[in-house]
Amino acid sequence: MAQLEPTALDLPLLSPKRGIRLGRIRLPGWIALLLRNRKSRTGLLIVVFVILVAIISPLISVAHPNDFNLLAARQSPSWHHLFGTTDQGSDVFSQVVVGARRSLLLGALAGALATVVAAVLGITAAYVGGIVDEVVNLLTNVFLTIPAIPLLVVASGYLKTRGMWTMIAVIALVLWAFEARILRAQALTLKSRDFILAAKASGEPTWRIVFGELMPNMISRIAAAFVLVFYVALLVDSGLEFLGLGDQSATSWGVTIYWAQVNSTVLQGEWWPFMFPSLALGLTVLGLVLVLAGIDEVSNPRLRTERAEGRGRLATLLGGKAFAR
Amino acid sequence: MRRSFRSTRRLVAVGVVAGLAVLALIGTASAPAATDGSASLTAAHKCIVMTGSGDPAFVKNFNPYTATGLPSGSFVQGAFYEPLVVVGEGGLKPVPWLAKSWAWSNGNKTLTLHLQKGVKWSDGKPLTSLDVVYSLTAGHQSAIMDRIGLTGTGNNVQSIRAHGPYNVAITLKTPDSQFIAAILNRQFVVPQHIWSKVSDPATFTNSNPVGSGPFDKISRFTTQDYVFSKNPSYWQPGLPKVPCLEYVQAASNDSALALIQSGQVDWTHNFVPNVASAYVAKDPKHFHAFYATTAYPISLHLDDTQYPFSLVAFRKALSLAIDRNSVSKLGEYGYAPPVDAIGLGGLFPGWVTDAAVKAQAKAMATYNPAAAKKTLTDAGFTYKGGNLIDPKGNAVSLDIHVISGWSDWVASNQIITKNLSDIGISSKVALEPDWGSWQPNAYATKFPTLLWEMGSQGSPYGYFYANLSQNAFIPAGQDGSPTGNTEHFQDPQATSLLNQWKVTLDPEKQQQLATQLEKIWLNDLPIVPLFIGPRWSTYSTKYFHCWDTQKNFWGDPIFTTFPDNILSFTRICPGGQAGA
Amino acid sequence: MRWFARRLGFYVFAIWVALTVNFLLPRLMPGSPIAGLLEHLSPAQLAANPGIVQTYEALLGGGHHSIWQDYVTYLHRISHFNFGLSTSNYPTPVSEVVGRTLPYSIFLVGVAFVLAFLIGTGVGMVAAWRRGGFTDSVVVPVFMTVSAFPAFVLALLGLYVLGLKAGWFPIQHAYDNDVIPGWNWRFVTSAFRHSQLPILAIVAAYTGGWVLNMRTVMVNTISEDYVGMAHAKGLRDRRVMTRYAGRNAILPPLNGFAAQFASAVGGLVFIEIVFSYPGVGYTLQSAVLGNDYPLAQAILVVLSVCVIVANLIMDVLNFVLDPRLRTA
Repeated sequence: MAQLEPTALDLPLLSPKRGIRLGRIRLPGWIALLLRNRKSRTGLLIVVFVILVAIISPLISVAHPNDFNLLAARQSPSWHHLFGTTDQGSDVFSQVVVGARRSLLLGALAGALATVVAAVLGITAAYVGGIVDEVVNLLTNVFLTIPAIPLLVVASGYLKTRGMWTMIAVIALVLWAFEARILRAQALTLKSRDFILAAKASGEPTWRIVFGELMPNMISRIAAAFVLVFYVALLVDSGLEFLGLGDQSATSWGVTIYWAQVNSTVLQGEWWPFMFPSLALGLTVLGLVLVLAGIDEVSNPRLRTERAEGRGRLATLLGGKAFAR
Repeated sequence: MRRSFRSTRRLVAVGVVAGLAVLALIGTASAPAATDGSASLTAAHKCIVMTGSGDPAFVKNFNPYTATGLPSGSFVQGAFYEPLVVVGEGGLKPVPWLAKSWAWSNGNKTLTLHLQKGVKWSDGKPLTSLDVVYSLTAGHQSAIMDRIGLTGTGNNVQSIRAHGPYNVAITLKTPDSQFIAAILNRQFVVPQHIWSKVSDPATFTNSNPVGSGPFDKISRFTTQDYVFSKNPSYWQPGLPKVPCLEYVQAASNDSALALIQSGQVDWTHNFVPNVASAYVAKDPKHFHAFYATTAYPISLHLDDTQYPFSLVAFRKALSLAIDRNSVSKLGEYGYAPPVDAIGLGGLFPGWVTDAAVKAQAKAMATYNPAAAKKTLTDAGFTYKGGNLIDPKGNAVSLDIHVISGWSDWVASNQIITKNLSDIGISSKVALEPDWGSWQPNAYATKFPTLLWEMGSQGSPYGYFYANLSQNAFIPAGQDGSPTGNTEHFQDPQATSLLNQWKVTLDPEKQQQLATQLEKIWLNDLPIVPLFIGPRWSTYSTKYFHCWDTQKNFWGDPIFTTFPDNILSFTRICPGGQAGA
Repeated sequence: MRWFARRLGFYVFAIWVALTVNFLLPRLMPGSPIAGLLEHLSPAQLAANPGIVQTYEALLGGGHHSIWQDYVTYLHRISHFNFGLSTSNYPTPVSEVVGRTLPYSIFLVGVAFVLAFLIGTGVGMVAAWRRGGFTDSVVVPVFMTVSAFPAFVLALLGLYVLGLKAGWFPIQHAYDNDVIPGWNWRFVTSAFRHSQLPILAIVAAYTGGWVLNMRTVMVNTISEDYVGMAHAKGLRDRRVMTRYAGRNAILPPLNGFAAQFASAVGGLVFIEIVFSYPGVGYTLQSAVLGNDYPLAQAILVVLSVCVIVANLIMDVLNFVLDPRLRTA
């Protein structure tokens, strides 16, 4: 589980009001910024591509991707079966594109759930302070010390149903704490800003301040939290499925890899049931990581990559800044 | 400048440490890769190296009664503890072992065993009739030590007595022709002087086992590997021929496959998908797969008390509607040959002798959907649209449940349910996530399922008894595994024939009874036999030969099956050779 | 010092929570806890484990008393490290099973994680220092891409390509089969050799995160005044990078180390399974699949304690490296 933790230091929070125009279409400012940044542009393209594939998957796949078709078993990739077939004759391409739906849906929902919980708890705790803050802090820290995957492994062992909603709930439960801590730290820095103090002085109720003033100004960080939990949920869910603790009759990337492993396909010389879902997973996660990096760079201008000037890259590479000028 | 010197020195120090670390890495990296101990690629194996699949890290437990499910204890029966007789799979002629001869007397109610002389326990004490009597009656000490059903209902043993140091007389209440093959076969002998002092046999780990068997010491034991070394004073001189048995851990079928492909492991009993190309092809001269088909069939089991499964015509129609050839070839990778409607073709082919019976059994199992439909309509079933309606007017549905991880059975069920759909039955495969959710319902046929046979394998008596006898009957909804009557069926005529079979020791008479039972079977068809459930065994002749093979068959080739395994342990010989 | 005591108090509380969660887990599932557990077992398992009902009662702290009594008994047993008997290794005590396998996991995750941290922060530091240079534009994306794949995928790739096909590394277990564990040279070299591929897999999976993390923090640090001052003083570039900027930039990632450690412990499960490495991760999976709940839960507690210990070590390190905390 790779994790990108954006800086915990004070971030300048940007919510630019200007948009850009694409002909007649007017895009909100933050999308514009994300598109302009090279990292997030690449990431967004990848993620959008995967989402599109997931959406059109019923059109480009067979009706029941998990169905056996024993006469077509073990075929390597060809025009007829783009990604080959499994040991039981299921079309790997169909399994990958249809599996994208479940994987993406699960990641997005788990991410949304965890982010909502983290935002509400973290920001409220930061603003209200006092005993609420202590309690939430304690809760967060406790959840952070219990290792996620072992807890999920044991919980899956007890659960009788392993449907998608159970997985979403369990994953969100385990992941919210990480983001809650960061959002809390962020909200703490905002707490003493003028506009918050003004709102407080004018008698606005707490919930309005939290939802109406603090959150909108943290939108970039909340978005970042969502993206992070999204791809971690993807990795964790596929991991559980690989261990055989997921819903083995579902169509999803982790389950396809699980069956590839159970049937020892690679040792039989069939690399495709293992390779293609793995690539799909890696690609999606990479896209999300890039989006996250992009959000970071947009929020923190110092992060943006500059091109080395003066004597050129080689000189900079070898001699450091002192030589570059 | 002093500062720059210090930092330079520090840099040099870091560089030296890093360099050493890299050197260490390279140094060990250049060591040959596949040095997994004595089983390296180039060095010959001293011990036969075996493995299983899904083994947890090893802990020492050599209790022959309780540890057979653990990696450490999976073949203590056979390696350390010996049987009295060995009746190999398929009702082969009994091989004398600790009992070198025996005789029936007293109207075939008393079996007198004459024991081998000069057998010693590994602690030096002699093995006598006292140990044998003790082992046979140990059920009185603790229920888990009961190997012959002494403490259960239906116990037929009246008394067991020692007559002198080398004779044991077992007296039964009524004659039992199956006693040796089905019951005595399971018994192994443990030392009375040790086990009678054990306060709780269930928790006793027996970490220093004292046995009489071909192997008597544990020369190495770690969490991933152990070695049994041969008994130098074994009572059969010159045996065992191999010096040791080594068992290594494999986390999954996948890792086990990697081990046998690379030649690090000689012998396994895992299912290997596509074994011809996945294993044998890697070294055709040495790598072999012996998927023994001397076994009972795998059959479709239904609750025969439930309507419309209770209609014989329905079950016969099922048998005609299923394409066994496709199931065998595609679902079971061609490893599991199809069977006829009786199902004894793998284990007891010689017991089906009547030509008419054979023909009928074959006909009842030939794929013929039209005949299936006709059988149904003749019995009062009707078709509405394409759907089958039973005589009571309800649509017929039959979902087959299977554990999702058993991919070959899942594949076979896919074919079967499609066959059933073709004759109008609403039929799908229902996946169960694991053993715990499938097994209790399967053993009670709370849902239709593929299942193996649980009857004794000394002769076809066990098969017919479990499936037809009133004495074996288990009511609907209950676990059928105590007798094997999972489908809840009974036939009074068959029962009286079986009772006769039990008390007669005359093989000809037994054959006549068998033929009559076969006819009843074909009339009743309590289950639908489909294909043989093979005994998976892969072995390598690179370092050892004299294996149990089709041509040289002495019993179950799986090394955890007692008592067949002791034949393998004492007969496999060192030395590589090309070919089986 | 007061801050330290507070942290310690928190950790004790966290351990207590972990133990309580373990106690409650079987009871939160519908139905009587023992019946719920027994239902998962097959008759064959029940027959092979005659004392299993007592085992479960011990696990749940008693069985026939009120929940508070059970709880107290449970805590009392745990304080004596009595986790009950492992049902899949019946009748071996759980503590013995865990004791055999824990050292290997600690070794693996300890070495791998520290390596990933060092390499990651090193690369991140250099990448941030030389923006747009080779490290920043090539090495960082490579690490990012590799770490985007799940840990088990990387482990499998390593196994198939480097272990099986190329034959560069042994493919499973913690040491050679003919070696007896103990403090002898043969064992140490063998264990070291067998840990290389798993460690490589863990490093590949986790370094990317560190790289990005450190790079981000470093970039912020670079723009600080004191760095500019150090340059102005004429100090050598590398010295400023490591002793001024790097030393301060490392603090937030170091804090993150403890949290990341928890996730690395999770990733351990996959690596151990792929390489049949006899550590707690592998034991946990076989325990869960074998319905051995006493063992599974004990491992969960042990892992939580490990994470807490790692946190504690981090706190001490923090204390040593960050003078600001000493005055608190």
